[in-house]
Amino acid sequence: MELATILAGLGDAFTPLNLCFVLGGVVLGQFVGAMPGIGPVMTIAIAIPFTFALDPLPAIGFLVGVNKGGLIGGAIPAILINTPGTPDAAATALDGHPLCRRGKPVKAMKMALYSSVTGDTFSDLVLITIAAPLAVVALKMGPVEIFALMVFAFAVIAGLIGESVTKGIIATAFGLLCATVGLDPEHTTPRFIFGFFELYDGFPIAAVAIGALAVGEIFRRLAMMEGKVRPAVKIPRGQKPGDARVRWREYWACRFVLLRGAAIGTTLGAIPGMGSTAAAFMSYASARQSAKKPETFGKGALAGIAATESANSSVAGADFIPLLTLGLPGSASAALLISAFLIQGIQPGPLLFEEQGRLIYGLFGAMIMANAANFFSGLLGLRLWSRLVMAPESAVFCAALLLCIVGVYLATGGVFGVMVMLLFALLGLGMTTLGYPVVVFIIAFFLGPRFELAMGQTATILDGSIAALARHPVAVALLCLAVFLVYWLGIRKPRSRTAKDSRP
Amino acid sequence: MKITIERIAALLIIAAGLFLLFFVIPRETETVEYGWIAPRTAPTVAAAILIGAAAVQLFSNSGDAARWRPVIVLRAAAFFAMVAAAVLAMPHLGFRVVAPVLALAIMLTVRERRRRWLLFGAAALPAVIWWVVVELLGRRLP
Repeated sequence: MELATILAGLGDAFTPLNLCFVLGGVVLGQFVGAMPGIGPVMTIAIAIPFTFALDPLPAIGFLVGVNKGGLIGGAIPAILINTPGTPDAAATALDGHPLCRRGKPVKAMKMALYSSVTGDTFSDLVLITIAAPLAVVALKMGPVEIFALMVFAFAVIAGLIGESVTKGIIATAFGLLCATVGLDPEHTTPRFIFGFFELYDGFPIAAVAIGALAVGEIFRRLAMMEGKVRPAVKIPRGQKPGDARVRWREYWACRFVLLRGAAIGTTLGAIPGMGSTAAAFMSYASARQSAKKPETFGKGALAGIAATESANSSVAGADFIPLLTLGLPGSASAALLISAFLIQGIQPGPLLFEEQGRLIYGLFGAMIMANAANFFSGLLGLRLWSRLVMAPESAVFCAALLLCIVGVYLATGGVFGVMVMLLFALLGLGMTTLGYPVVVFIIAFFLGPRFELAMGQTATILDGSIAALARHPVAVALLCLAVFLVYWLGIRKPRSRTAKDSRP
Repeated sequence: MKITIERIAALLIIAAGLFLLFFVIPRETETVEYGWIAPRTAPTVAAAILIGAAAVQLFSNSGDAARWRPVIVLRAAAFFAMVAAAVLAMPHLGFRVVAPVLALAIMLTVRERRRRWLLFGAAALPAVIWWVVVELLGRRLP
């Protein structure tokens, strides 16, 4: 990558307009993250149609800001009312809430903020350093290797997200099946149109993403509401400075915990399917194990908050490693960002660094800006966001639902798209109720057309002969790994778990 | 073999997969004589994987889905019907009529009775969305 491209990209990012969009995204992310039930994933889904009119960099910078802001916002209700705003903040509640009950809610929230920004910055630096060299390696792969890599990625995602491998495989197959609606990539003949000409281009991406990820969840949350009002949280005023502030020596004492958390989060985040929740709990367990006083964990230890928040926030940057270098999303937010890229006419993958290098370095600049914005917005807004915890879910979900309807209407240009959204909301609701991972379905749906194209190219290169695969050892290794992974996660691990459970 | 919701769901998936494989795919895809990958190849492979994985799910020793609560599912279905009716009515009655009614209906159904929040959801919220989309962004709403 030429230095001029890098500098031009960073120059594009550091403009007042982009700063406004990134800051707006961060503030919105913190705002929604602080409200249990909404979260950044739902917000990104709702916001995507409203970013159509923007240029790619401010649009994606805004969505990245929402994602990063949501990581900090999610910790606020976890600390204040022991109800995580986002699933990855669940581990933060282990020490954050006890510290809040000891009369130090602001201190707990500030530690979460500092740790989150530290972890996030660490993973962004790793991403900026290794993404371009990895993309160069990825570019050396041919269609056969890409096809094998996608099979491997589906195996990893199906195996790691959700409660069982078979359910993951069913969700993957269903996502691929839904992606075949519309013109087929090889012969351009229509498939599964059923007389609806609107389906010639397939199901609208925005309608599927918003329906399955946001509206389905809204229906579920509305159905689970039983008219209860959340308990009020009062942040005591006039606290002693020591109770409301994190001193430098307290932060510095957690430096190894922060670094380890960031390293765990970055490593797991780079693997598709390994979510931030797993990273947070793994980092917490590791910090507790290596602590001099492990008995303080669970009772309001700052190190506990540092471990979880640095780990779950560092996943946000690392998520971009497979997304940008291979075009493989590893989480719901990454899948939504892929849809934002596609809607903007950009195909994520290794070619992105060659074709859109300036945009990519602009995006990196926006990510660094988002971290700074997260820090300052968090410092100024913690008390304000903590009041949002009390916002009634009835109003919040009504707002989200109306925004989903309007967003999809604008994105698809009519009521047909909204009906498709409702169809996928029903599907998402059914899948969640029965324990089938919706995220896996969405990732498979987004990757479906590329997968089919790679399958066609592979068949042509191999001339229809499986034996010819021997000329592609990397592809063979990836396919073998995929089979092994399905065996390991689907048969070996559940069996050993059953044996352990049946032991007296 | 114990009948559970998980197993019933797996059976339904198998039935849907077979229906796709033998009825929908042959009728809704075109026959092409050239190339290694025909238009029906990818859907057929996906349907076959669906059936195979659902069959494994059917015979695996899985417990019942913990989240399955009929009351919740029925209530969710009621919300779905409410929103679907509103979306179908929107081209005829317009966003300005349907959105406030929908918001009010949902809020009352979830037992929201505080007037200021009802006013926020049913009046302020649709008005702000209308203003942002139509006036600020210059886009059309039904």
